[in-house]
Amino acid sequence: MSGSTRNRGWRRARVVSCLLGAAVLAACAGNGPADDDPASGDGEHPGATARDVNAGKPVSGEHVAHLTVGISGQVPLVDPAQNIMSGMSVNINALELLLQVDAEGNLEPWLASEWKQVSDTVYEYTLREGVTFWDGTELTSEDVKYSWDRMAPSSGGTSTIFAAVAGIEAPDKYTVRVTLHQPDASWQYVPAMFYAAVYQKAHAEQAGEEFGHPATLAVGTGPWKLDSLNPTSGMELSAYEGYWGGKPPIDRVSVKFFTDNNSMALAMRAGEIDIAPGIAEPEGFVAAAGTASTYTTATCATALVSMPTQTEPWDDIHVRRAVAHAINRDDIIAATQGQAGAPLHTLISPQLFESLGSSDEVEAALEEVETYPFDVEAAKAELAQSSVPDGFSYDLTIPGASSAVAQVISAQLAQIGIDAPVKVVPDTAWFGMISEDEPMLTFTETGACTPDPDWDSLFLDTDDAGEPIGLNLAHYTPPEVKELLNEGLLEQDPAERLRIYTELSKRVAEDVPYVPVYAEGNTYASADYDIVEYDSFWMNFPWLLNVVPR
Amino acid sequence: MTEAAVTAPRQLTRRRMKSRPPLLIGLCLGFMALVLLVAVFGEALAPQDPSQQDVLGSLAPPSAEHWLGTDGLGRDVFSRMLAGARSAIMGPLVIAVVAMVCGNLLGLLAGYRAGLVDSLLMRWVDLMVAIPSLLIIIVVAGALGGGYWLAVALLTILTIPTDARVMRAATLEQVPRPYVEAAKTLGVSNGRIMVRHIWPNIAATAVANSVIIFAGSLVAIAGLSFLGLGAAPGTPDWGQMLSENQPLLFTNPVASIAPGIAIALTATAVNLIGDWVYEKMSRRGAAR
Repeated sequence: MSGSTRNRGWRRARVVSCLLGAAVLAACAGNGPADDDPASGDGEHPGATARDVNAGKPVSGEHVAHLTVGISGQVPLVDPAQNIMSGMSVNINALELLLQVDAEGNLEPWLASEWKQVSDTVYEYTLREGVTFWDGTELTSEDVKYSWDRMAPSSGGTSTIFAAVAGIEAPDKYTVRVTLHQPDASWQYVPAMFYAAVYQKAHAEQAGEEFGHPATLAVGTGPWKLDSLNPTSGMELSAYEGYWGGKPPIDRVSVKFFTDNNSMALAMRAGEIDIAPGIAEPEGFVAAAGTASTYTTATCATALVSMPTQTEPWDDIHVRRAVAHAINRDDIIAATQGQAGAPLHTLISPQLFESLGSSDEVEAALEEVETYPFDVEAAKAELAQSSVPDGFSYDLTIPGASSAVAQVISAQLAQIGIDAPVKVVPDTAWFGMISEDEPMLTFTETGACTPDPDWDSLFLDTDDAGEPIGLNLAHYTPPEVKELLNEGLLEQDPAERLRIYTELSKRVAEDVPYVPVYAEGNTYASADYDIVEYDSFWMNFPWLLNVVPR
Repeated sequence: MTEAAVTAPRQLTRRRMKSRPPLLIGLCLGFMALVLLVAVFGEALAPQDPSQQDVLGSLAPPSAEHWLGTDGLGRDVFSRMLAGARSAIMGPLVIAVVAMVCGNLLGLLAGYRAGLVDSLLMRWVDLMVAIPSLLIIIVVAGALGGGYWLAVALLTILTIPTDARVMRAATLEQVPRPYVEAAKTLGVSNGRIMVRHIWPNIAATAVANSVIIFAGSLVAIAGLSFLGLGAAPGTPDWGQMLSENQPLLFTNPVASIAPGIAIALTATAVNLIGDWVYEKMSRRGAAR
């Protein structure tokens, strides 16, 4: 394998992670809306407030005897290696991570008190001493090694995101050393992502095949213990008094599963749930829930229109630029019922650049990237220069969740003479079309994102032969783009990486394989509580520690 | 004056009154006439373009400008209701007519010819009736991507056997009757006996069954559209509107309730009219 190319499994893994994340967040988030400023993000809202207490400590000392949480979807089992979705929303309050990532994308200590990059391919983590599992035994590097080893597909795990790892060692009780196959600047964030949760090795070994199932569950170090799981109705958690951060502020947590947004809203209206950490269509939710209010934050994930660049007439740059100018982001965002975070004009979200430089540096870099403001006349002019000056017809193929947005896009394209009837296909058929490389005009939301700009490479990936893979829906395969992607991973210097990803963004903007529409949003709803520091990465943190009574 | 002379006018009046549709049926006929009118001229009657979006003016409550408010994409719900009548009527009508023609022919054939023909046709009918229709339609339409006419085609195919079974039973009742024997004796062809002699005597059942099929199909197509397997997204269609506007139950409840009421009223009206027609035809047949 070339030193600059990741293997296919790694990429596929990230796609799977993202799509599963999307499934949960889409379930959580639906296909919703927002305006330029999400749900009121004035910076004063508790959701936008940064944590100002030490790791492991709750934001509020106010005691809560019982909190009922509503989530969309179900949790069939809690083994992170078999069901990474279960790591989101609930598990993360029980099974913790070595690091945390703050809203700006900076890494913060959690179970690891220190970490360092020993070389381009070796990372070392020093565990916090005195952290105990719920049975009182101490967390050691062997537990971390065991948990992470099980994540790799070669060990039976479903998260191939760990395929980049050449080996994990536990040289002493508190040290974990990870060696990668090749340099990968995006690895630094993996120990802070929900799929890297740590649990007790002894319990997992004893449970064997049953590990993570309702009868055995899992043993972690988190502030809340997993007491019971009913895969169809909900979970029960209780405070772990010996938690390393001190006694958790909430004694008992009941989690209820809901199949759709409306039933969850009605449950909140009836007082059956106190808080819903991830909801869809906030405006409709509030109307149905009555007294609840919501807070939406823009995430680093990108919702976009994709055009098949290797298929006529989309191989004509003028057609793609015409579409880019025809897209009215404000209308599309309004159609999402408060779910979209904010308008987006670049494939790689500005949020993902934050870890590479100061705000001014990032702003200056992104100013170089061409954008296509909504302008019907400019769109018509571009189409007039194309091979199809009189317009054409092409299906807008989407999974059901994007139906409302797709109808708006279809109407906007009709204004410039492109007839794009909406064709809804089942999710499985849509994913099948992607894996079969079938060309399609489509719209997609991807859900959970990771804090590195390389995250967006999932839309640009190609294999060693230069063929599109993963979520490269546009079949966009210029070799220069592939080189820039590889360069961005190999380079460790943030300033240099900022330059590389700026170059990449410029190239992608020139070719317009995708029209970025909006930054996807995350939304929570409650009548009585808020979640402090509710950002892109809320599901990677024991967010119940951030719950504050209103 | 004889007793007959006294009672005859009363009987005549009663008979005349019975021949007139009762008030409820009158209302149903009026309603269906309105629905048919709207189905034919709906788009032209609509006060606004049913597909015109005004996303920033979405979720408006009922007003003078928008009688039933606007939906999530700012489209006029009243105009979409009018435009949606066509797909509500068209599909069930096609299903009812095709199922009636095919089902009647198969039922007559099976009931009249008996023997091997009857056995083969009825075993096929048994097989088809044993299949859970809606489930099969959901699976097939889901696999093929859905679509209004696909749903209509599937419903038609799965409805024919039901109609055939009913018509066979009605035919079996007629076959031993003297008029059939007489026709056979006179050398009338089998086809003519089935179509010209037997069918008119079971027409009441045929019409009543078709009306039931129409009403059932109306609800089934609306259900499939609700599940995203019927009309294409954005099409003004009552089932589709019911699904799309479901989240608006607390913002503009009229937008989600109106198509539901329209579906329920139409299905009920058709059923009541069907019952009334059956009674009328049966009475006329009995009188004959």
